[in-house]
Amino acid sequence: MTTFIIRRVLQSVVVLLLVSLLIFLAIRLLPGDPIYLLVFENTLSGLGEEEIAQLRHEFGLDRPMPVQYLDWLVGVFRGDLGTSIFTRAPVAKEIFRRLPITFEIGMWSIVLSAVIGVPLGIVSAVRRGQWMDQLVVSLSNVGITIPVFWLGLILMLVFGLHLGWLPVMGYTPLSEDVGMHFRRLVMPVICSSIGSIAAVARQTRSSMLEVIHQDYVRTARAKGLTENVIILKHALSNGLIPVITTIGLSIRGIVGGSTVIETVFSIPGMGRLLVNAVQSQDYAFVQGIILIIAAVVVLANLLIELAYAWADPRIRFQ
Amino acid sequence: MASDGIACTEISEIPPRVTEWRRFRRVFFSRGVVLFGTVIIAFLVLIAIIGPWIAPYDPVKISLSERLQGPSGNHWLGTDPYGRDTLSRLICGARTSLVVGLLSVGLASVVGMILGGVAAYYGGAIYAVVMRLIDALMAFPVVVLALVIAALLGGGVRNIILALGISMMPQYARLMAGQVLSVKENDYILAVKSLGANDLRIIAHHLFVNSFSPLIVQFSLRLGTTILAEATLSFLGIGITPPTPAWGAMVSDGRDYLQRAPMLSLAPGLAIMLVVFAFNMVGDGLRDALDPRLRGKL
Repeated sequence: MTTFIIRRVLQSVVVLLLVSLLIFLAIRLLPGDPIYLLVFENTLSGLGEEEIAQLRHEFGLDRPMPVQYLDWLVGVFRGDLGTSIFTRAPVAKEIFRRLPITFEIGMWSIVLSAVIGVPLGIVSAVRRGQWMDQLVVSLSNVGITIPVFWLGLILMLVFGLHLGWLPVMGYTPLSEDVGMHFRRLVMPVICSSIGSIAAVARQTRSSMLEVIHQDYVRTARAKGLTENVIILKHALSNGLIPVITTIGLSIRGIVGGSTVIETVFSIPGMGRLLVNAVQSQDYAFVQGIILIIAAVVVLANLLIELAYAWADPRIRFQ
Repeated sequence: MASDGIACTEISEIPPRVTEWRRFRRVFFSRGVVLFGTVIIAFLVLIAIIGPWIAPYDPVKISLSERLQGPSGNHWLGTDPYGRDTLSRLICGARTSLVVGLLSVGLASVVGMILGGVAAYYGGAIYAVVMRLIDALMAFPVVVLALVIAALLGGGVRNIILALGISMMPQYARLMAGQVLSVKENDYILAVKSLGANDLRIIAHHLFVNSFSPLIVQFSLRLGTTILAEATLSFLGIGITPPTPAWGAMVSDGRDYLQRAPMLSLAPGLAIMLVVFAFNMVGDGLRDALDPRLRGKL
C-alpha cells in the first residue's frame, strides 16, 4: 500500500506541474496581450510607448519565458498567485475568500449524491423491471441531460417567484443568519447535485445488478439469510466499489458546474469569479483560479483513488 | 440473448451481411426511448437543414413595437425584448447547436484518436508523456477549460468549436489508447506485421477499424454532452456572438423576464434538454446493438 501511495502522489505532483506549465503557456502564447488590453482600456489616459514598457517591466513581462514561469511557480508555492493588472488586488486573497462558498455547495452536492443516489440505485436494482426501477432509470436519464442553468431558472420561477417558499437568489454568510444561509443554498445545491445524484444512481444500479448474480450472493441466499442482509451486507460492500469512482468523477463536474450555478443564483463563489475574470479578461485571476480548480480536482482524484485501493485490494497489486 | 438465437436460425437462409444489419436494427430499436431519440435527432437534422426557409420570421429582425409578446397566433412562442420571434430563433438555433456539436466532437475524436492511438501503439516514453499530458488536461472540468480557451481565442463559431474540441479531446485519446493497448496484443496484428505491413498501415487499417464500436458509441454520447457544453458557454456569454441565435444565450437572455415571458427561457432550455437526451439514448442504443459488452463501461 505504501508503494502504491507514493507512486500515486508522485504522479499527481507531475500532473500538477504539467497543469501549471499548460496554464502558463496558454495565457502567454494565445492572443490577448494583457498589457495591451490594459492600454486599450486606458486609451484616454494617453499612455506612451515608454509607459507601456515601464508597465511590462513592472509585471515582469519583459523577461525570458522560462524565468517568468519559474518566478510564477515559486510565487505559487509561497501562496502568491500574482496581482490583478486591472484592480491591482492580490489574486490569492480574493480566491481564498471565495473558495469556502464554492466548497460548501460542492460538499453538500457530494453528500447528497451519495445519500440519495446510492439508495435509489439499490432499490432500482432490487426491483429490476418494476415500476420503481423504471422511474429511477427515467429520472436519472433526465438528471444527466437537464441543463443546470435551465433547471435553476425553473426552480427560481416555481419556488422563488410563484410559491415564494425560497429566496430567489443571492448568498448569506453563515455568520450573518443561519436560517437564511441554508434557505439560500437549497436551490443551488439541488442544481449542483442533480447530475451526480443521477450518475451515482445509475452506477449503483448497474454494479448491484452485476454483483447480485455472483456465486457468493447465491451462497448467502442458500444459507437462508434474509434478503435485507444479503443486499445490504454482502452485495453492497462489493457493489459500492465502482460507485466510489463515479463520485470521484463527479467532483470535476461539480467544480465545473459552479461557474454556471453561481452565475444563475448570484453567489459570490469561485465559479462566478472565474466567469467574471474571463469576461473582463483579467488573466492574472483566470490563471490563478484555474490553477486552484485543477489542484482541487487532482487532489480529490488522488484521495478517491487511494480510497478505491483501500476498499479493493486487487487495485493495489496491479 | 434472444437476438443471438434469432440471428443463428436465419444464417442459413439470408446472406450474413443482411443478418448482421437486421440484428443491429432489431436490438437498436428494441427500446422505445431509442426510437424516440432517433426521431428527435432526425427532426433536429431536418430543422437544421431547412430551418431558415420554414422559420416564420427573420430570427434577427428587431421590431420594438412587438417586444415581449406572449404566445399568440402570429408568434407561437411569443417575442423577446427586441421583438424577435422566439420560434424563429429557436428553429435557426438548431443549426448552430448541431454544427458546433458535430464539428467539435469531430475535431476532438480525430485528434484524440490519433494522439491516443499512436501513443499506445508505440508505447514507452511517448505513451508516458502523452498520457501525463492527457491527465493534466483532464484536471480541468470541460466547461472551465472550454471557457478559458474560448476567452483566450475570442468568441465566434470557429473558436467555440476549437475550444470545445480541445476540451473534449483527452477523453477520446484515453479511450483510444485503452482500445489500442488491448487490440495490439492480438495475433492478427502480429500476423500483418510479419507480412511486412508498416506502422501506418497497421494503425490505420487494423487498430482503428477494430476500435470502431466503442468510438462510435462515444461519438453519439459525447455529441449530447458537447451540445450541452456549447449551450452552457453561450449561456455564460462566452459562446456564439450575438445576434446569431444560440439556445444557451436565449435561455440567458430570458432570465430577466422570467415572470413576464417565461417562454423566452423555457422553450430553448427544453430544446437543449430534448436534443441532449436524444443523443444519449441513441448512444445507449448503439452501444447495446454494436457491442453489449460495453454496457456499464461507456
